Amino acid sequence: MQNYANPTHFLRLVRVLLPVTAGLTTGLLAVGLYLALFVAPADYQQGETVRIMYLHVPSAWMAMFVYLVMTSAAIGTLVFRHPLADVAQKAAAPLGAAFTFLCLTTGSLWGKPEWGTWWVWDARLTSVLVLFLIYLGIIALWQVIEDPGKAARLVAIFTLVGAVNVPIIKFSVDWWHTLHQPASVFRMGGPTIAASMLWPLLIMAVGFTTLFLTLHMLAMRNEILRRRLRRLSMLAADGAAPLGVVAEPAE
Amino acid sequence: MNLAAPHSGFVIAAYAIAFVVIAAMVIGTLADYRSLKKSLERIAARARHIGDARS
Repeated sequence: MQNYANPTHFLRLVRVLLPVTAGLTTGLLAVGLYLALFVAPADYQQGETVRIMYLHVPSAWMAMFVYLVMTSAAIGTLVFRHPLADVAQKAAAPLGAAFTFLCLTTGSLWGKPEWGTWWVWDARLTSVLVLFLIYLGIIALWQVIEDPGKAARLVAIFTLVGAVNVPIIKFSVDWWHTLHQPASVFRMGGPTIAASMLWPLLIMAVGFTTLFLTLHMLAMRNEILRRRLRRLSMLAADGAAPLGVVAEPAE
Repeated sequence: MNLAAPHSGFVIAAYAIAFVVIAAMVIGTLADYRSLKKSLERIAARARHIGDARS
């Protein structure tokens, strides 16, 4: 792990892994979409609207998974002081926000025909909205604090405090009476979904995971370049940037 | 998928929004990379120019 603390080594690793994860993502999402739209049956009660599940559920899982990645990175920043931990955390926040936004909008589009309303203030929906606001808060904190080191420590503390919300989201449907249905895949006693619907769902979920991994690596690469650019601009402002520093590979 | 089924508009809207959000994430990340790479190349060219002038 410490080998990849060096950003140049990490960038080399990204160059090798990117084609693999990008290819996997394209393949999985193509197969997943085909199964979800043309092979999986319509639900006997919900009809065609059940097809929103193949977007909504993977987005919801990713919204929480990305936050867990950020929580691990926050521990990496505060406890292990790993140089890439805060880069990983900063790169993940907009992606987590996007997946949470997708979860909220697809949920709303599913809720209207099934529940008769776009939104209810029940525990599951509200806790996911809180997660979205936490993501926006983290992005804002990174934007307003200029010194990356100081921002990293503050954001890490904020992220760890916000992690309390993740088990609340997961167990909200068990702890409170909600309009949102309880868990039907990851539950004691196994999934309650028919295999013809479960497989497309799982393939879409793995596709969303590899999509996140691909975009996260790209965003981390961007953040490393942004910091390199910032350092060089500061050196240039002081006088001339040393040629040795400038000659570092850009990728 | 039966496009004539009731509420199919909600399904189409959900998939359209997902497409836009994912495309925005991919295009935004790649555009950011291009812009950073250009800035780094510009600053490298400037440093080389200064180095040549000094030697």
